Amino acid sequence: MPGVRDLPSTSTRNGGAHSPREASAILAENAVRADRQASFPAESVAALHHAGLLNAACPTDYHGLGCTLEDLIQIGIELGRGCGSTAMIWAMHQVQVACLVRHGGGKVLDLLPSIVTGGTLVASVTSERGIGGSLRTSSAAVVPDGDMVRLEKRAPTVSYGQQAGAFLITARRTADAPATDQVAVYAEADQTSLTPAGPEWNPMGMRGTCSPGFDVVATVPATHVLPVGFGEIAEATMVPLSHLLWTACWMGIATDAFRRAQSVVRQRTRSDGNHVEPRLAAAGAALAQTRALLTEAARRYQPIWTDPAALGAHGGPTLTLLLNDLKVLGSTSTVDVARSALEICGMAGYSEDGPVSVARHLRDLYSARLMIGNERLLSTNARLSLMKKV
Amino acid sequence: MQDLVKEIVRGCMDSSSLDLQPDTDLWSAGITSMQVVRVMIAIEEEFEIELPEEALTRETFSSVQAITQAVRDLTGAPCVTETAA
Repeated sequence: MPGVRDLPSTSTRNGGAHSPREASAILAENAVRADRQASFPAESVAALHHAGLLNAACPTDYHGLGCTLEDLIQIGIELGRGCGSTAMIWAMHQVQVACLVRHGGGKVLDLLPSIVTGGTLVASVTSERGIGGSLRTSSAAVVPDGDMVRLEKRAPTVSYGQQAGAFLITARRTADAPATDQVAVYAEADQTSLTPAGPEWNPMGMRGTCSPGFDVVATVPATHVLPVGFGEIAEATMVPLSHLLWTACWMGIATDAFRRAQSVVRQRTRSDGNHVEPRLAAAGAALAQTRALLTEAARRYQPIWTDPAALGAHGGPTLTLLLNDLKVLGSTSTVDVARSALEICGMAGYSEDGPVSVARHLRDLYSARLMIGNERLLSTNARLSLMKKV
Repeated sequence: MQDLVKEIVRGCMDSSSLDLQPDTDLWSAGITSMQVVRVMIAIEEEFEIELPEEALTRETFSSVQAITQAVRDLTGAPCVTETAA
């Protein structure tokens, strides 16, 4: 099984560290191939590792870059401009590493430096067959076995599962625990067996994330069960950071689509000085609106990002409402931007090839509404809106 | 007041078997977002108050004690020691 740990540690481009923009250019070079072949963008992920960006969210104490929230958002946008799949792999990995750093406890923290320096990708195993997409519910349970624990989980999707060097798996605390009493378990690839389950990976978009289903079996030391309940991990780190970074990546994809439409309009303006394109203005406004909400959500989450213990004072229904709003807006407004770009670019935009193609952008962005389904978030927000003070 | 808050929380959590004490951590006890909404509405109606946005934190809904304190902060009711029912 090829792993990121096996990838070359140097990039094929500059032979040195890259800025996010330079890394994004490498991602763009590999994006079409990953999309066409639904294959893992190994060279792009290696470039991120080489640039140090793979562990941007990890504190410097653990050999990461220790980026601020705003830095992470900017990186997500930049990478999304190059390749949606690679950007999302980056974002999902940031979230898993942040969960480990912020909630991992002594034994797991001891393992972090090797994860970071080795370029190990950490994948999440949260969804489960028979449960649907409910993050906060598990059927699988942790079963003690001496100093070890074992768990089995039927996951309908595990992004970059076959390429990951480690996993963060949710399960019920014990076989007797209710479905909502969950823990997160850290498991390295050699402690985990993945058996492909379900259809072959051949989706509409985000094809490079390689996210098919697996039956997962992990046997790990009991100390790999994170000491904090998963409910707190989800609320303090996993959910907010996911919504912020996913939205950043989607914005990056939409920004590239906008840029392509802009180049077409500029060309038309050169031949017709009176040419105006209101759809470009509307797309620009949608990007600005999404960016503004992203900034506001990051600002509201900042105290908890600084210190997870601030969850009590700064977390709760109003933050959940805002983050859900962000995810729903980000996942739909970016499609609107790419759709406007398609209309502006016409057949050249509809083509899968060429400098103003926005086909991959649109296909990738349609995944956004399914990642923690918007209907579920809107249903939650319908309830939370009863609390909203306006 | 605390006893009344406790009965409201118990009713909203649909969990008659829960050993609900004033300091029971409601999040650990599995309170859901919908149940928090129900608690908030019931509290606002019962005490004829409106909890301000800054009070709608995870901390406020962390226990019967914390909810009671939030109500007291708004109503100016004295903080008296109550026996747990």
